[in-house]
Amino acid sequence: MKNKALLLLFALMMSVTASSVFAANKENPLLISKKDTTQTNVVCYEVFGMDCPGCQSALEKQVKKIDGVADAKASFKEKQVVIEMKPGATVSEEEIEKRIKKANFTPGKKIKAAKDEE
Amino acid sequence: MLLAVLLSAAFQTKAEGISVDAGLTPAQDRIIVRLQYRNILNQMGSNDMVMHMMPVVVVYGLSSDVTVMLRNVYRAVGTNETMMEMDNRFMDPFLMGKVKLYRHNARTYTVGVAGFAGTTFPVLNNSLSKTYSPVVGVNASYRPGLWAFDLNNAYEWINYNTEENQSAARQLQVNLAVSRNIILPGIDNWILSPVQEFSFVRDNPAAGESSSFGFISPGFQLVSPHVKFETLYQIPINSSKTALDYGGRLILGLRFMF
Repeated sequence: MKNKALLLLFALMMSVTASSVFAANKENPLLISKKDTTQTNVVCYEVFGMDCPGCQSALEKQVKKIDGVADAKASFKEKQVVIEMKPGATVSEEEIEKRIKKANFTPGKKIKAAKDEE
Repeated sequence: MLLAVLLSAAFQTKAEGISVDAGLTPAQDRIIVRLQYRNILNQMGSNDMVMHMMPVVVVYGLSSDVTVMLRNVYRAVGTNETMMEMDNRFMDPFLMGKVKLYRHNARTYTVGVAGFAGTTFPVLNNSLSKTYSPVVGVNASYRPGLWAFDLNNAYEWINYNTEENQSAARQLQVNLAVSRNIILPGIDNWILSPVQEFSFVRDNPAAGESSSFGFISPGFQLVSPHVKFETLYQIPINSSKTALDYGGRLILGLRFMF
């Protein structure tokens, strides 16, 4: 009886987590919206070493620690991270590359953010 | 005593089983919480023994090169038709450190090698014996594109008794996991990853004959940026030649990544 209760608890926990994560995902688009980029500075870096969505969140956590960074969205499919700066903030390339390395990935070249081109 | 050692080895719930981060160390300050449920069926003669193991693992990236891991397991006894006295309890905690030895991230692949060392600690009142089970190993990972090849190698001294200066058994484990990420259309940031694992275990008890057995384990993972679901079914190979006949093992897992 006790074992069945433990199994039931485990299954319940998995289903609750799945529904909450799927729901959160809809409100969290990969790239920064056009509206957001009109007043902020956006930079984009190639990043090598990411191979799953879990790598994305690890890299985003590191990059968001930089003073002056408002948001960061990484994509293992695109092999890049898009970094949104706070208005007026400047962040050195060395600092960004250091954070990418702390996430155990390798920074590539700085590329133009897709949304900047619009 | 031999039986106790066999049982101890049989109920280990180590990193093998969906061990996809083998040779790679996580990012600095990364926190990973891993919950698992393992249904383990063993037979001793014609007597069944069903165990429910629930390991909880907490991983923290001290730096990009060094990771620490703490694991504890709750064991619930299902069916026990043997003469062994088994109770529901927490097993000894296990502490492990993993160090990055090599990593190269290229545009089309990633290669990583990491070494690790850890041990159980007999800190609980219900520890059967005041022994340690130290383990050392080297893991390697090769990730070309959407594929992943992870090789885990570990050598363990099971129930090492510090007073007697010897372990009850030594065990070599080799585990290869092959998986491929499948990008799910219409669902951003989620991937499905079928996994096939091959495990080889060589038992060398202090007394009695050595034996080898293994598992062939198909499974899959569903991965998002912060949550990973894992399931694996371990099919035993050659275990009937060991004193304890291992049956199939179902593993269900949930991993949170912060």
